[in-house]
Amino acid sequence: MTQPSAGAPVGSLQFERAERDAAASSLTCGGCGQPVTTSYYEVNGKVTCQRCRNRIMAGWNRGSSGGRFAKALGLGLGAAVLGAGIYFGIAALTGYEFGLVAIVVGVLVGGAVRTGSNGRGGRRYQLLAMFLTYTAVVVTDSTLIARELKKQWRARGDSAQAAAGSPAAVAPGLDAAVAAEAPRTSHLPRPLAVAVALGLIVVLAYAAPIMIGITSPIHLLIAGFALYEAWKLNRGVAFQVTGPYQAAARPAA
Amino acid sequence: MVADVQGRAPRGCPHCGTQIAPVLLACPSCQSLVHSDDLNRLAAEAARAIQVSDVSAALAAWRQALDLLPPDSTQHKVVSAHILDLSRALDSRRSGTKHPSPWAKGATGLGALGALLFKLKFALTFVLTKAKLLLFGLTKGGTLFSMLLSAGVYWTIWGWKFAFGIVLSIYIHEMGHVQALQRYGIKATAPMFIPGIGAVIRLKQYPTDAREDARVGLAGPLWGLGAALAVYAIYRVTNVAVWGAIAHFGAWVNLFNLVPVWQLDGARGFRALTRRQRWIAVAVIAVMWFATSEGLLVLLGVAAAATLGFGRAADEPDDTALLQYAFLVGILSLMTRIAVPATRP
Repeated sequence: MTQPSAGAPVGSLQFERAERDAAASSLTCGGCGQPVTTSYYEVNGKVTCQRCRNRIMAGWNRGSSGGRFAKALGLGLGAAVLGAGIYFGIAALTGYEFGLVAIVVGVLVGGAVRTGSNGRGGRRYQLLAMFLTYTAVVVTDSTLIARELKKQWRARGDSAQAAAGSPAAVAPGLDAAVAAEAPRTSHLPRPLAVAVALGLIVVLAYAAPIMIGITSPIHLLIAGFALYEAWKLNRGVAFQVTGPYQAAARPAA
Repeated sequence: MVADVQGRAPRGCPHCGTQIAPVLLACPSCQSLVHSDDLNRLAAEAARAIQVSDVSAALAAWRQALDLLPPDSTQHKVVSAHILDLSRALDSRRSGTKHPSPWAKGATGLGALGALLFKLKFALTFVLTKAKLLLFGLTKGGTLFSMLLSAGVYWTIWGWKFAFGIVLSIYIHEMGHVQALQRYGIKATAPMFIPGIGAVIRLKQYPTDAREDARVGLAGPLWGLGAALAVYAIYRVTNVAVWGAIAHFGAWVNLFNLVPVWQLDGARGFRALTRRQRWIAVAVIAVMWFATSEGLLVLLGVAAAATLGFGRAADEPDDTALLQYAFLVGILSLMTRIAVPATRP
């Protein structure tokens, strides 16, 4: 075949020295464009003078840690709600319940937390992103469990109704039994009991993905993958500074 | 997190003595290229590959060279443009008129029998080259191990026949991507299976443009469709339910991959489509939904329509990408209608 002719001829290239425009051909700072005379730093792959390096690092450390965390929490929470909404939206539209949407939730939450942390990442942001992703998974899984419970209650209700329809159940004495039951059910639960019950519900809800995972390992794997995405997106290596490096004592011939 | 890293020891430039930070590809002072020897070797390799018309090998060499050049250098720009030229030449060579080989000319002289023999030879060569690639893929330890692990997980749920069937379907889909990546000389990892997710291939180099990305992205569903059709043919011949179930699953999974969001194959195909072409794709999806009532097409349609509002459309139309996408949506949607007997596979 013939050599493609579009663009500059690749055969004439030399690979001894990098060819750049005149401004970048000597040792100059990638930040301010000033010549570097004695030493330079490398900031995320760019040659930087000491002054620019100090300025970049000061900018990086600006703002309070608590403020960044609150912003990451807010954005992450919003993304988790959005993710759960996507899951329910798809289920309503297509009739399919895609467990794989959990991964999208992981990516959304991970990205939101990263944005909130000003792109810093790090262990606490990783944990926050994973917790929020898991919470979104809990919400979607809880609906599955609630639906199953509802089915069971309905089935139980139907069988109770069937029993109530039988001649023995409409016998005299039923009213007395109901009357005896009534005082027990009409007792208002104490606040502590309510708190315990709510706590139990939350614990059970958070255990739901694991409980479902026992019977469906794939479900657990997908949830794990979602958590991995959230964790991966908040890795704490975003900004690297190396140096100082010595510039040449004499320019190249 | 700020990392004021000391890291690896800097090299001294042999030409001017400046210390070169480990991540730099050229001396910041005199511009000497750090990987000069490797670059010259790769350029020679690419030239040799072109001489024997092996464009894929030339592309692989130039892509490797690109990784060793500073992104703001003139050489980087020239090599990038050259890679684009080679990649386009590869596509036009495939779609262009092929000159008949002497073998074909001889076969044509024998009339209908000769033509049939030539077609058989073509089919045999096609099957053997693809089979070689499929078998070669299994020699990668990570692929084979993760494939068996996935099959094991699916086995516990659906039985061994269906489990191995779907894992092979996914494998053929992934090898479609591998074949396209090799064709364009793009480095990537071997397919890795993840139970419940499918399989993934991580690219080590990026496709040059949206056209290349679309070819690589849609190659998976195209191969997957081939596998599903082959399994469906077996089902029609044998009437054994499990083959029908595997064909149905294969069609469904490949159709799911055409949803144009995130890293899915459909999203990669869509990157090469202009706004007008995206409207056509949405129309095809809508027609197939009316024809088949497949719920998954609603998801495809919504996601495809969303790209009209939010996604950045290509400037140049890519008819091949649109045809491939429409063809895949059409056939795979019809295949999801395969009636499978309700027995456990």
